[in-house]
Amino acid sequence: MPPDPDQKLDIDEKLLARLKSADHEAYAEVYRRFNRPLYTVAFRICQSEQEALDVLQETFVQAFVRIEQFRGDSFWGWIRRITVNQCLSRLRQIKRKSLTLVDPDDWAGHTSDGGAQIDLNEAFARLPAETRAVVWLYDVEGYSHQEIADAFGKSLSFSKTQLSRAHQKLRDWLDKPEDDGPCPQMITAS
Amino acid sequence: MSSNDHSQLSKQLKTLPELAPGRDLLPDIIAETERRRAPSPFRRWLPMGLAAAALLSLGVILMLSTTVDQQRQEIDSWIAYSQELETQLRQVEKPSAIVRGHQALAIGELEDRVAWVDSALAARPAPEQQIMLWQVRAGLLNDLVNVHAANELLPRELKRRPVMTMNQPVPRARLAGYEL
Repeated sequence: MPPDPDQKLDIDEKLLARLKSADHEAYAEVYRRFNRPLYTVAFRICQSEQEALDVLQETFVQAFVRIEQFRGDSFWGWIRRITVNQCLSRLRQIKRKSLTLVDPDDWAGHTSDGGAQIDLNEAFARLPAETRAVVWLYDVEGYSHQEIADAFGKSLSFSKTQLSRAHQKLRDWLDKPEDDGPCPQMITAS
Repeated sequence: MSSNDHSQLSKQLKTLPELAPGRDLLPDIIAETERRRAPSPFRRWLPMGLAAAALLSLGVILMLSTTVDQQRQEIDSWIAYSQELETQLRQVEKPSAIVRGHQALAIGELEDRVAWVDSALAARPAPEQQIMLWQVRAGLLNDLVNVHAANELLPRELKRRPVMTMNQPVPRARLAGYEL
């Protein structure tokens, strides 16, 4: 389970100072502490192991290189934002490459696996990439609609609409043993 | 769908397991971090590059100013030589003296050419063209002096005197562009 922000998943001043002095042991310590929660965020949004690994590596490299720019109270919030931005950047790249990101209004054409009931993990993975990111950021990471809208560079209503429709669709898939409704073509970034 | 359903779904999503990367990325991360933190060759050599560029600029400025000075000196020397020749021509003893026909023609033609060069100089051409024009002018004046000397119109002390005293003869190749 991703860390709760209240769990003080953070670093102290000493570790921060060591990071700023490019201490490799400090790098290792931060990596050990944050690699799993950050990888989880990356994988949940990208739904691709390779993409998530790339995002994770780039996140730590950027964090270590730009550590002098860290000014906030929460290292976890800062480094997670790097991860989220990396993920969204990759989603945009995929979109530009014309891989179809299905609009929630047009989730037609998908059939479930033999009508078997699917679990939350699978249902979540079926959501379109952008929608998936909205759901994860709002429901799990605790982002506000405004923060999501800012991260995507879109309006507040974009975040609300995506979330509402995604919840409805997830509930439909989870409640019904057979998938009688359309669902999105899953995007697997690879 | 009620807000209670939303909340329930959110709780369920939070129960999804935490995931771990399939391999240890730390060595790659440290290597890449070090690579990006290291000053790039550009940044390392930037101060020296700037210094070299400044020196080069200074050199070019000095060279240009030196070139300009040299050109100015050369023009001045040709002007001085022209003035010297004109002084000699003014000392022609008898302007009304009878000269032979072909000599009169030569004198007239040379004087026409000097006038043409003067008009070209009046247009204030570039320094290198000025040098060439002043050389041509000096050469023409020198020819005029020689013609007068041959006709014995000059004072005795100037006759047979080698009047072309400049070290540099008029370069014919540089005259090619001018229809004299």
